[in-house]
Amino acid sequence: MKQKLPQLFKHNKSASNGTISVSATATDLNDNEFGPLTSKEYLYHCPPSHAELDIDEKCEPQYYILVCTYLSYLILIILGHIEDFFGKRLYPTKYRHLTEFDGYAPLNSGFDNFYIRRLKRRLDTAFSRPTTGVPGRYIRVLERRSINDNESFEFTGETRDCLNLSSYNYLGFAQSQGHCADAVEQAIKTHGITTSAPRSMYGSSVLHDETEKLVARYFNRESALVFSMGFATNAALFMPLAQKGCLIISDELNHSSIRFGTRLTGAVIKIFKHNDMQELEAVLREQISQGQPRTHRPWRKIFVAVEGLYSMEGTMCDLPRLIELRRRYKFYLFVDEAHSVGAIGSHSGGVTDFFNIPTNEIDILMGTFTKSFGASGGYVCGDASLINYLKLTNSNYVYGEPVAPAVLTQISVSLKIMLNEIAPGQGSERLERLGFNSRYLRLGLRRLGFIECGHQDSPILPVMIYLPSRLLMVSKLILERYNIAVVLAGYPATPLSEARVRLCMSAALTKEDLDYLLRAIDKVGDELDLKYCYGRTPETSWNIDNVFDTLVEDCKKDEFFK
Amino acid sequence: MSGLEKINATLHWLSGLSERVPGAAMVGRYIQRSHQNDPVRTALEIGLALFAIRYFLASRKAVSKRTYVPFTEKEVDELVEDWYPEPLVPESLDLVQRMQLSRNPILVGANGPKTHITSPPPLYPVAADDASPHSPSSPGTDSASLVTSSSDLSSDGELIAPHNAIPPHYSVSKAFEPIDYAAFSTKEVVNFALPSLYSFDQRPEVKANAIRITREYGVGVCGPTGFYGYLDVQISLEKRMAAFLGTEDVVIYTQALATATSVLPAFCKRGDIVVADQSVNFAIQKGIQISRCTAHYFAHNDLRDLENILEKVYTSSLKRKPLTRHFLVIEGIYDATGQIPNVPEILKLAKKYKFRIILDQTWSLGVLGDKGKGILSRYNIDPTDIDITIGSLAHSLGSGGGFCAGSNDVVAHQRINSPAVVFSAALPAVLANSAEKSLDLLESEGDKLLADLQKNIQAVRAVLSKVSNLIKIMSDPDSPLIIVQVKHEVLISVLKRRGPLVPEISYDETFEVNGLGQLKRRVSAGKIPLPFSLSGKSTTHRRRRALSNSKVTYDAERVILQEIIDLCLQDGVLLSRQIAIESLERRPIKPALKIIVPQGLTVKECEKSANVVKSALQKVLGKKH
Ligand SMILES: Cc1ncc(COP(=O)(O)O)c(C=O)c1O
Repeated sequence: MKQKLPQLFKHNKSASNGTISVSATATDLNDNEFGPLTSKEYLYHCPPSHAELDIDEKCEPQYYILVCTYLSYLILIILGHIEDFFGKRLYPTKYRHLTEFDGYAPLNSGFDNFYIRRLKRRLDTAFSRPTTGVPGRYIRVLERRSINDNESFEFTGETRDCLNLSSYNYLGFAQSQGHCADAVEQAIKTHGITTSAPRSMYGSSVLHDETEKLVARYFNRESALVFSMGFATNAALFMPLAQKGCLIISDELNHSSIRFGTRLTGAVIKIFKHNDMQELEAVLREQISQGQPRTHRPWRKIFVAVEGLYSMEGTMCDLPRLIELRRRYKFYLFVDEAHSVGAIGSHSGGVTDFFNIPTNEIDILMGTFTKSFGASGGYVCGDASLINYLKLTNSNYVYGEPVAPAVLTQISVSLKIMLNEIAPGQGSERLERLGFNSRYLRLGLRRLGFIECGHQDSPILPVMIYLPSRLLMVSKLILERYNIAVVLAGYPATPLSEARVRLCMSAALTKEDLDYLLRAIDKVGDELDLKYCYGRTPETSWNIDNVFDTLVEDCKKDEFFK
Repeated sequence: MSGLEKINATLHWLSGLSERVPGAAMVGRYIQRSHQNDPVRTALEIGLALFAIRYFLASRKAVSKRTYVPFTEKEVDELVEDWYPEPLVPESLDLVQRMQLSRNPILVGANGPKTHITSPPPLYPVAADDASPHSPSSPGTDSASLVTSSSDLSSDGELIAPHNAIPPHYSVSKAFEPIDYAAFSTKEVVNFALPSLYSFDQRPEVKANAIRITREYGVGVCGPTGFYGYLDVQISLEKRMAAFLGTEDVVIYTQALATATSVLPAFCKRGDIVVADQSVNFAIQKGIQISRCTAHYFAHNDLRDLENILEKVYTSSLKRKPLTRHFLVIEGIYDATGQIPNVPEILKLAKKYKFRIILDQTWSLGVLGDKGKGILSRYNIDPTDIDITIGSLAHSLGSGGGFCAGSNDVVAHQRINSPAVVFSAALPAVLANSAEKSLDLLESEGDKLLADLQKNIQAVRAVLSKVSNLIKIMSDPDSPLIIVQVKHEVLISVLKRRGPLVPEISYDETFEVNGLGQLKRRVSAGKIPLPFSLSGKSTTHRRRRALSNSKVTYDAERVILQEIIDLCLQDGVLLSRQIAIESLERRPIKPALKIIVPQGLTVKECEKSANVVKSALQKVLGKKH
């Protein structure tokens, strides 16, 4: 079958290649960074309110797939140990850092280390691929090769432009042109690269102040703080808030940064099953009635930490239920909106917007600017009393370097675009394109028989692969044959047996790009037998030739996602 | 009968199984033999085995079961109803905290050795249609409202009238009054609080380059290095930095502060041992804390104490198998004191006792050694002798982010095991590239820049040393970070003269200074900062006791330092004091002035500004008043 490919892209600034643009962003873009909108049909406006979270059942793979997965790991582990056994004896210098040497203990040891050397190295070609340029609609990957089994790589000097489903670029703000970039240029001219000192020691500038006020306004909260790194925002956030005698109840799939931050406190940490509100309630009831371990004193404070949208699963937190529980059990609710902010809700306000819940129902609202706004860093917003207290006790504010002027400007201009204060219409178009693209691709994948998981409106689309050998092949085929960049997610980001390919949707992609992607994935899926759910129900048994017939209309209807 | 048959059959089956399972035959033989000798013993052993199995399966639950109180659903409902949490944050801030919040002017434009500041606008950013109950009426923008706003700091929305907030027994310090920083938005102030020592970030060529990079890469990287976020710009910075430092490889972090906190847990695990200077910075402290390793601290820069500890750890570890990892953590220039450690001696000790060194070069990079290559270059130490070097791109290099340098193994390990590398978006291209440009500039102009910087440092120190009757300069003569402590007896006399400046207990702790100059922590009753409702009697009592025992609260000291800082600012010099998060630091940080001498001033300007600091010191601490 001859495929209809989108015209392959040259890195130039010429206008759109024959396609008619109906886009409000038309003046603002380079087609390689942000594809033009080709029809008003390809927009989806998220309805203003959802009363509850619909949880859709993930299709389970056949039993033999799971058995094979475990077997493959078993074989890999045994092979790895054999290699190590001989390696340590034959090439002692190579293993010096792994064995006791001259009275020093090995620098690295344990399973993580073994996993990296013996399992992950086999996949290394698919990770840490160097890139250059803007990670927009296309990403330019630098080609490299290894002559020593992935121990090191050398560049071949060639590059490959790939359709980009790997970057967190939900609203398509990864751009080197347009309103953001123009403003950033101006900011560098007047403010330089950095304001240097920590915020507590005169590192704040008017830009920080403006951006923080804007962020607070965006979320309709009293105050906000911005920090130079999303990870560090979480890592430092809990220390001054949760002391000894406090309890933090955390979702089992919370991001590493939240786990890092909570482990730095003196609080007791309990975990509940992912999104299981019943278990959360049970934990709350038990903990409040039993009090602190041994002493039975009442807990001083209880925090519940969840994410708005889980980055590896694409699932959304059950906010309506959490708010109910919060009223009843009086805990402090922390929501990490790293992935949901900007990408979700009828006004791109994140999960609170999606469920139409006032943001002041959330005590600590955190998020990052890395994913949706093409910037970097994180924010916290809440009551003025919280923010004032953090100004005294948050280590990022007191000791850390402030957000750079260029980044601040990217944040504030992109937020203003989403508020339709700059270039009216552009913000809503970005949001509606993202909404359409996510649903279009998700329904397409489901109909073709793939196991995708997550919420229907989530821009994160994990496609389950399970088998480690297929994982590598998917990445290789899809990159080398079809020029598409996708992310592989495996241990330690997911459980060992649940390796997956993660597609990150972007408003910068066009519907034609997605058609191409679906065709490519369909081919790969057939070749590697990845359509684990094909044939289970009529809904999951479409073939590629007719799947496009009604996809544009169907993907806008909720019933097809049930 | 049939029961016995069944047992026999089972035994038969078991013995059959034992032939197939390797090792089981041996166990079987053991059981048989012991049974023949002594059936009671068999029973006993079976009992023991069962107990062990039960113990292992139930050990976790058993502990919690013992203290578990069963409740009915109704009782739980009541308990839930009755439970109220403490407030998320303390309901009121104390005077010194408010002072700190009110003393935070903001920069009008670029930050450099000379800069412009203004008052922060009102703290409450209010959307026009947002009728939040806490919001003040209208955030004005004229200068009059700016003045009010800088004192408008109470957490509950009401204005603080500084005079009312202070109980009548305390003398009113000017440091509690609002300052109109907006007055300095047209006047230039000399900036003695600028970590970007050479202001590379303000050079036209660096800015032009940054703009070019923005036009090529955009701003955000949109992904961690593992997932298509590994930009060529970053690779080139890593290579450049490695060549500059003389190590095999370098890994870049997105924030300097997060670097050490993430590097330590990547290598130190539970059971490993870390020996660190007691004055290591916050990031390292937290890194040690999260790695859950065993930590020992030696007295600041005290080699004898260090050797004692290393020896003890070493001898006790000899008995243990397998070996645990041992790390020694030091800084190139200590952020807390400005002192420089004797690295060659420390290195000798580390080698003798088999410790790996983790060296934090945050301040020493760009300042010490040949062309600012850091403390190792100053002492002519082979960079590969140090296993792990941590550093910042946000200090002398005037960009953002941090890095960790070491052998290929050390760096490769972090790329996959260091949480802040794996789980965070990469450093924006603009920042990575600017840091690289700064390295170029250091390499080409380093000799002159470093010489200028040293001249400025010596000029400032020379002026300050004229008031050595009042102050103690803690820092090493070569350090651009000058930590100035007020002498203890001077403080006592100032406080005697003026009476206590703040209630003695303001955080939940007071600190006692004993003869050796070491600090002891004395925890007082309250956990939440007390509101200012101490009765007159107890406060006067407390005041007398405080002075007679020559105890000085750190808060009082902070107020005095703030007065000095405010005076300096009036004369156009911006400096800072040690601002620390008291409740999270491992040990109390002694209040001190923090003067950072930048390279971009002339020696004359430095002298003039130092004289401003000197006269402020004399005015506040001197006997004349
Ligand atoms: C839920 C969550 N929180 C925080 C972060 C960290 O943000 P950043 O990449 O900006 O450091 C991430 C990034 O992956 C995330 O997924």
